[in-house]
Amino acid sequence: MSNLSVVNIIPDAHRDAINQIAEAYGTGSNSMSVKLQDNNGDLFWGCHAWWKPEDYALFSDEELRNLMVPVELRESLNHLYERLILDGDSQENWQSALIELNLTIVEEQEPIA
Amino acid sequence: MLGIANSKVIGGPGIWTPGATRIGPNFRNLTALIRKIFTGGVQGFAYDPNDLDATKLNWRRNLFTETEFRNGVNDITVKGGSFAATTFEGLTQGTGIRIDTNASGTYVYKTFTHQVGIPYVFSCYVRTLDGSVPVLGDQSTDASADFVLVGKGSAIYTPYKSITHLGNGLYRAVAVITNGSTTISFGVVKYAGNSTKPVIVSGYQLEVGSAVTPYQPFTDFNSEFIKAFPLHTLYQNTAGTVPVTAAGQPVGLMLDKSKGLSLSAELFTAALDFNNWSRTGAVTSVTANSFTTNGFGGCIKNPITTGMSLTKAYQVRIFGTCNVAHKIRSSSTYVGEVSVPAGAFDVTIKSPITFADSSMYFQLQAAGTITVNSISIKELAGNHAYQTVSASRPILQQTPILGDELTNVTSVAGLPSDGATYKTYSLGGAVVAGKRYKLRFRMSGYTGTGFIGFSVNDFAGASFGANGLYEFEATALQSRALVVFTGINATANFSDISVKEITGYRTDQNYLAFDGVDDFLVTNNIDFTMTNKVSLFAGVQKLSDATRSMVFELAPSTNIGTFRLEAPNTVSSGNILYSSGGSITGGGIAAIGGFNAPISIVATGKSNIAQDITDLRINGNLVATGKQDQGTGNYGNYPLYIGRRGGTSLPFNGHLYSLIGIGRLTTDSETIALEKAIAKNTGVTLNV
Repeated sequence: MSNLSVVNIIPDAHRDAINQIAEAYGTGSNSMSVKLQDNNGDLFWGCHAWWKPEDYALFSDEELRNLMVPVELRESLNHLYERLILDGDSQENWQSALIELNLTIVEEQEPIA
Repeated sequence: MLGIANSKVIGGPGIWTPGATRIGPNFRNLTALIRKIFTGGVQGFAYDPNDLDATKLNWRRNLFTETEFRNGVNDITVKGGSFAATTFEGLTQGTGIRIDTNASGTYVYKTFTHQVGIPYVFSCYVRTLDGSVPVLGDQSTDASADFVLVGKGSAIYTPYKSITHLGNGLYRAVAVITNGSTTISFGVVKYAGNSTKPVIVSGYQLEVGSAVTPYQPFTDFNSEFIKAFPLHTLYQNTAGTVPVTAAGQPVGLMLDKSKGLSLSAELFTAALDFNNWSRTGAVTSVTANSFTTNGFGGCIKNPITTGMSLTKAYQVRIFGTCNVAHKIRSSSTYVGEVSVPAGAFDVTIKSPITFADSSMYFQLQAAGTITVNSISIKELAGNHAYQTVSASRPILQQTPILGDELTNVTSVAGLPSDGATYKTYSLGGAVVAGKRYKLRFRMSGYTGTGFIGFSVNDFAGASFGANGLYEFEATALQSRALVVFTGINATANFSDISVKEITGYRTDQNYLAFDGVDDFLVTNNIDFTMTNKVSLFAGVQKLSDATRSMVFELAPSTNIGTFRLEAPNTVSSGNILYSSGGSITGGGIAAIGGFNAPISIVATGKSNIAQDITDLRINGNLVATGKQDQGTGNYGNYPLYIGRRGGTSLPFNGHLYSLIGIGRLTTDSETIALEKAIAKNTGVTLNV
């Protein structure tokens, strides 16, 4: 069961590297898709996903990670924010992460109606 | 975000006995209605998360429409000689045909109008009257043979025939038909020159390919029904190789049922010849249907057919063997890729991903040899919704069946923190470790920096740092008294407290859970340019009113000829909004407030650009009508986004139980019937 709520947030400079790592794991080409910014106007990117706990354990395994992730991309993982909750509420996890990091969602201008 | 890539391959021993009489309670009103309203080629889409029956995964493989001579000799389409209906043990109907010696030969054939140039496999089950071993021969003069197989009108000889003992005197005979005349007969013959020992046959199967697959009986055939509604439409990956079979699994592909999920005629009609395919340097040798590599990355590719559309979906099925792991792609992009382990493989890809260069790829992951016995490509009709990014896939969930209320306290005011320790308040009940619970509470007046939580889970698992109404499921990690607590340096009020054990899950109220962050599904372009009218039906549970959310929208943003449903639209009043517009984008607006989250509704949008109709119905009642000018023209040819505007903004935080759209105004009776069926799936009682 995918019941591990995982929030990931990455500074803009490392977004491409994290997306490439995700792609190497076969999870798609644009995982970090939510545009965020802090009080200084610096950009970040985030995502939320439900993981199987066993998959997350595999992803976190240092040895396997070294096999899967090219050397030039590994540095980006040091900048990857992860917030985990087993079960619980995905929105709560996400909102708590934004509060902790003092980030807000960058919404493009949208017509109200 | 980073899930582990799946490599599971479907196929194998499942047996599907289709037919309307076998569908039982899973054949629900909604499916019947979808079938009824989408006639005459009207454009639209129909998604139903209840299609989870794993036993219905096997799509039709057996090309015959009756397979066990249930109606005796009447079910033999081409016959001659000495034959009679009899009993046959071991299959589903207990019926078969006895074949005796005849001076002119005895033949029991079924017919199928096959295509020339592609391989087929014919198989059948055989017994003898005395239980002895039936001998499968090569030809009419084979005196030791008890019978001979015929495919495309010709006797099938070694090495294209085989017979296997399945136990208890039951045998299965198989003929691989790689060529032959255009004659359409397939079956069993006992020539005058064969033995005089009678044989009994049943369980005829004809399939495309070069490898026999498990027997798929057809005994109560309703061909239109079977072609229209295989009942499994949800897959975990975009390539459609890993089905969703249980709650908690991601949905990467949701097939559209509005076109009946029908498959086209075979598109891969040219002879397979790898000699003509382009290859990488690691490919060391090639035959017509195999190639060998000297290491990782050996790859071969070729345009597979002409006339394939970039916006259509295809079912690609491939049989073969490979002694190392390999990958198959149905386009130049990896999103349609399937990883296949070493060994025999039978891969079916249901890919709505565009065939970017109309090519097929085989790539070996190490030195080895792959042999491909058969490739089949058919268009899979429909506007299928998919998500290529794991992080953005909604999760399939099932509605829980709840036990009694466990708390005797519904609200707690001003639970303080003393700045040093956790503060708890007993709710009067207890939870048991390992059991799963549905929790609900509203938190207000939160101040401080500490966490708020329920003891049903550990502190990290159910802790809350912001005001709001929360409703979620959790597993109790310990057996303990039920309390609500505030962490260090925090205080809060609690109301609407409820804790109930989840005693089971309904199977008729499945839903897609969108996380309100980045989840969404999208289709290829849906061509609504032939109509200026649409009717849309959605079963929705809105979990939050915190931010404006897009349930679905045609096109990446408000554009000419689009429609959309928002829940909520404006934050403060619990609005539901339906909008439609022709040349005036988003011109028609119908919105209603007061539907505060969390709430489940059946939302219906009906609109007519030319007549400036924009109607919003909630739970069967017309609640808002927009008369604004929508301009002129028809709806457009855009992707449908479900759960997020353009895949980038306004994410939907909630549940989707059903979604149907049709390019015409449904009649009143159709509208009511659809709303009732969706209400049942959504757990909503209509007040009509």
